[in-house]
Amino acid sequence: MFSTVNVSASGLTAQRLRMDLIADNIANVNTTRTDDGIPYRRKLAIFKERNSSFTNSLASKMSGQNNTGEGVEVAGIREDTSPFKTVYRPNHPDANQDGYVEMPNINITSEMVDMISASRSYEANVTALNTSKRMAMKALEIGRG
Amino acid sequence: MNSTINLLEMGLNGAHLRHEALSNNIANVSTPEYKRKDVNFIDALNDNLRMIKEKNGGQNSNSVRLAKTNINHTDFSSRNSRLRFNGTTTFKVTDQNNTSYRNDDNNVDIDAEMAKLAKNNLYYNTIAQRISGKFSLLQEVIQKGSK
Repeated sequence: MFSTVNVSASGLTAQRLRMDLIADNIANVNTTRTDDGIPYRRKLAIFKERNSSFTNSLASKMSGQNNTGEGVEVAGIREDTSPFKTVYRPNHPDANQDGYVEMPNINITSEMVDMISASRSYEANVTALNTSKRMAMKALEIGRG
Repeated sequence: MNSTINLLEMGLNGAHLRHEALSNNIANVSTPEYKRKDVNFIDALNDNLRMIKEKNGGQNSNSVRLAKTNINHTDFSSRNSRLRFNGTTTFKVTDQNNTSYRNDDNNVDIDAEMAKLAKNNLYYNTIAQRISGKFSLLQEVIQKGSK
């Protein structure tokens, strides 16, 4: 019963992390300095299906049927390697000799679209979680008379 | 009576497993290359019913009849009385590998998944309610029988 709740919770965690990274990207849309001495690079969460736990694999092999999966996990946070945007701003302290400044490779529109997508996915997981709870409550009502 | 509850119980188990598969699809809505899973437990239940029917020689309901000695006797048939479920029906989780919904090879259509989730929840509630109904019927018989 509770494995369903864990599946939905893993979806909630993943979408929240994605949301954190989008917020970070939007906050750093004009950041020209990082610890590495280069402008900020857009960060991305890589999602991966989670189904590798030993008990689950063993149970599915013993019963001879597929398992329903264990939700989603974040395989890692990667940086977008696309080139930086260059803006002509000769007065900027970080400008090169030709007067160009390298700006982060963040497209604010696509971040916004990602944000809506993450938010809607989060809501979908909340709905699935609430449905799980309602189903459990309904099962508890059996035999109450 | 017993077999009805067993059949309903199998329906509940199937609906629960399907809910788990659908929740997993929703959790993996933005996972690249994820393929949706589903449980076609209604077909499995029907197969089970058919198997039992074959075992009973092609009859399912009305398999037990009372002999009538008079034309005015009422028909009596015990529905499903010879159906017995041992609860060993296993529901199979199937992967739908042959379709792609987006560029990242994921085939989860979130709207369809939410609709399936809602439908499955209604189904589960119906079955749970019927089990409750069966139990209250039993209770009624036990209480009123002594009066």
